Amino acid sequence: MNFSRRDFLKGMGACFAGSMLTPGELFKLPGTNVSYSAGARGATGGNIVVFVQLSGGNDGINTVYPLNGAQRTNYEMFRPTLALPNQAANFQPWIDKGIGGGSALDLGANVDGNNYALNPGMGALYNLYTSGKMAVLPGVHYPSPNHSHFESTNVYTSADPSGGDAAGWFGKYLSSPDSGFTGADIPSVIMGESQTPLFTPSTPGIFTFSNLDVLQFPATDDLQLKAMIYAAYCGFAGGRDGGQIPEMVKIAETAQATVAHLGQYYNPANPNGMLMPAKVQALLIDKDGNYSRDNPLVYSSPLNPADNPKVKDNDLATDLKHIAAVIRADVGARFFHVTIGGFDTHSQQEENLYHSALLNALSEAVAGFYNEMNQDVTLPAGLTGYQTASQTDRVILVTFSEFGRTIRQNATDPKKAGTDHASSAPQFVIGGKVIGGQYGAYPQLDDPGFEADDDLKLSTDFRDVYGTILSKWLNVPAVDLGPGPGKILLSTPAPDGDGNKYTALTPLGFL
Amino acid sequence: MAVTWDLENAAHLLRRAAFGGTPKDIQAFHDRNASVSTAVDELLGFKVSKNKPPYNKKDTQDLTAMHRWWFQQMIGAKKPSDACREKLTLFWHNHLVSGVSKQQISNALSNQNQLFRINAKGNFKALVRAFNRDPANLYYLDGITNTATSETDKDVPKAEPNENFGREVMELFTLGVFQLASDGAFDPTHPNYTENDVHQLARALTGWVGIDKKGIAHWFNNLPNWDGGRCDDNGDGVADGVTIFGVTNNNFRIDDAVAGTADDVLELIFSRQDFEGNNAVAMFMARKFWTAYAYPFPAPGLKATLAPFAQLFADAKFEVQPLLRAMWTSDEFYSDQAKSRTVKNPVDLIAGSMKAFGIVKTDGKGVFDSPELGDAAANMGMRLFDPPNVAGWKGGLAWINSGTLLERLAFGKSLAASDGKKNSYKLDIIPGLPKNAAADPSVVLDAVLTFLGLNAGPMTITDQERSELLLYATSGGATLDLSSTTTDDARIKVRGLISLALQLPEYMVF
Repeated sequence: MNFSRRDFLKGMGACFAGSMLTPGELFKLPGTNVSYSAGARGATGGNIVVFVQLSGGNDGINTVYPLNGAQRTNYEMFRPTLALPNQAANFQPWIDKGIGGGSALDLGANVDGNNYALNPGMGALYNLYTSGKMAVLPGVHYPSPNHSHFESTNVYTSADPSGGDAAGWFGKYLSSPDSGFTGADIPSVIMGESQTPLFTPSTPGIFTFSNLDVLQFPATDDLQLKAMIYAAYCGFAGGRDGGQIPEMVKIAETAQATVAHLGQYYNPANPNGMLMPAKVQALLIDKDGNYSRDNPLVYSSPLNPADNPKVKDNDLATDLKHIAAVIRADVGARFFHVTIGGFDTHSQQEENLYHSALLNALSEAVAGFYNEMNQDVTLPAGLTGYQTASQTDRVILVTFSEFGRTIRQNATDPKKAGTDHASSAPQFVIGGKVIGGQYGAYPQLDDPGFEADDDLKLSTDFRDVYGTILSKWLNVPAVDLGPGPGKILLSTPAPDGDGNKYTALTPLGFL
Repeated sequence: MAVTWDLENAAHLLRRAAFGGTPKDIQAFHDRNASVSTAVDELLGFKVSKNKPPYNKKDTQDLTAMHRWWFQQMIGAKKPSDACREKLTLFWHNHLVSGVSKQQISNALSNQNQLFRINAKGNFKALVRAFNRDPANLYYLDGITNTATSETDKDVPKAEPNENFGREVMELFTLGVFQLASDGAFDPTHPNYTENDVHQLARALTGWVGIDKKGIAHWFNNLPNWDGGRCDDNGDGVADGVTIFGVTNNNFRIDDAVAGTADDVLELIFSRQDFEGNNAVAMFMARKFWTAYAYPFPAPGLKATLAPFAQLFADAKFEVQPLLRAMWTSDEFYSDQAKSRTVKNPVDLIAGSMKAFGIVKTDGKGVFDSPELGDAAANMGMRLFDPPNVAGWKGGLAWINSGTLLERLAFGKSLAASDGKKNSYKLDIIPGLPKNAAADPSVVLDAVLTFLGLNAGPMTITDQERSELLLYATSGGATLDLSSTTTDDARIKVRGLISLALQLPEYMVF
């Protein structure tokens, strides 16, 4: 990294408006002499993308499963105890557990002529599908699958099937002129403990948090100390003369992005008044005025356990409730990443309906998020500057996992049976402008591909999914997508091990 | 070229191989050792310990007691060598990964922690062999369901193994998914194994079960039992050959194999060579140790730096102690890179900061009004005994984001404010500071920086930082009068200085 001290100090403009402050000026903080670039929050408006990562490798074959035809016969043969029911009489366990109804969630005929269904736990998403707001892509993956969680996650986040590119494909978009963002913008929010490679490296800032209430400076009576800590986090350390230490520069950059948001606290002159995170917190305060991410929103929402018991104890729903609050707060954040774990079902996959219940949690949270975003809300008096109308026409939610799982189950005992790492799996895209339906063929269970004989082939290259989102939702010109050097999708159009070569984007019809 | 044995290098070794100490501790460590060689021998001469953390018997998901105990071991270690042992135990926890999230196994995790402590500097191959039948691992990576016989009919062997452990033992624990390129990163053109090798290894590893003959599951100490583990593809009752890396055997074993014999499947893994003739396991582990103790990959020429260490490790039949000895006495270990490019993990930040100020007595609970130490580390992204996944904590810049940086800030401020009144620790600010009415603020600042290692070597703070810290120190008065025991203003100011110094980007790395 060639990052000179001069560049670094220039970058501090995002933190302290204007030129370099002298040390003495720091003591004016907190106060009225500091202003923040309006651009630091990123422009409001614009389309929104929420990525939901299913971490661990979701078993796609039991997420969308065959109901009839040869595929059904093979499904029951390869998965003698894990196969999900196609007869109404066999859904009692899902009913008893409170996660399913009495019949298959039939998606209708696939292009192969067979019918497929969603996992019985996914009734809430099925409703979105039948109302035309959800696209199902049954067989998405990349050529020459890698069965490592970590290598395959790298592939999915970089869009490079060789795994050779460490940069996230969405980070490349954020950093490209097509995004319209600059280094002063902070359009991306990650709910969680660490930064996903999907968004990095990104020239615009990324704001990562699991809980807004940590996002404040420690209370202290010593205002000078507070000001100095604030300054420290603004990167007063600067770059270093001589050899740059990339890790330290990055730490200071992250501190700057953090302070740029927190700094809104210190800016009473800001025309928008409360901003992130105070503006978001205001939607999640209890009657005593205390914020917690577990509080209900101050308006009725299908993501509130109090309004909707189905999302009780659902961490993904809580995260998505938070994201909904950030979107409604209209602070310029447009791109979100959130993770739900627990999909690495090597054993006991359906013991006590484990995997079905996990998909039920996904389904309730995601459908709850859509329905939350789709409603017009009424906010308590005094809360102004929020997006209260339906936002679903500017929001899409995209699911992905690092891989699907093996065609065959790995044990015969239903208490032990699980599935191992494999390849293609369904992806879902949900949103008000999404054109619902099935896109692409369901891969043939008896026609495994690639190196291992338990891998499904793919019917949709994952870059076509990303490219469709970039071109149709974010208006990136096709010429910038690639493949090719410097392009967002796959910088080097090298043939993979199977001789497949991704040469051009084939846009899909879901947008 | 021999490593210069000076205070800067002594401090570096003590911080990286153990958890550091006060300037006085570092001086003593330096003075009692004539050279880097004897210093490393002192650290690696730790007594093997069979200690293990207590756990909550009623709530096996509650890790509080385990966290408190382990932080006590790390922070309260009387000798640097004991701290060295605890840091190695932590290394193994983050290499041979198991976690509480998959099953409720805090008892098993306590036993696993003991396994790592006993084998901390021992033989890596023996440790992997023991880990294969470690109950926490058998639950975490499904060895428990990777049985050789049908669950419904014990006389019928089965063909489909559970691949979880078979994959991760090669990918994450021994070989790595790819061989290393010259800069130490993976080279995707040189895979270390095929998918078929994974499948076959999983077959070879069948057999460890937690169900006894009466059908009773044994979750903890009694586990595992062995069901005779051989795989049978066609169900004819005869064990079929397993072929890994082109070698076929119908009796492959990890656990009861005699090391070096034909049926020892670990022998096959541990004898793999990369495309340049290096032992692949030794190279992968050299990189892992180097990343943990020196600096991250990729770095130009790293593979060439690691190759002699890997050779030594393989020649020593995978004994850890000689490998670490070679690394910690090497010139490269004392390079500027090795002193500045590692982002401190939360445990290093917490334990290292406390020990730097001489806080060694701890019950593991919180400082001032901050969370318990285990929870503080968790808030910074490192909940011990609960890693995010089987690859462990990713480390490096993955530690740093908006939320975790503020957690680091909160901890530093609480630590600086620990005056022994509202909390169980006391950060005594007087030792090493000038005690007179006319104390020069820059002398006081230098003393604070010395405690934190920020005025020597590549992490020396910049002139700009220095001038701003001095500005804070002198605001409200030109001196820092620490002579009086009745006025607290100067002390509060010094605590403020400590708090600020703990937030410097320089302090986040070492």
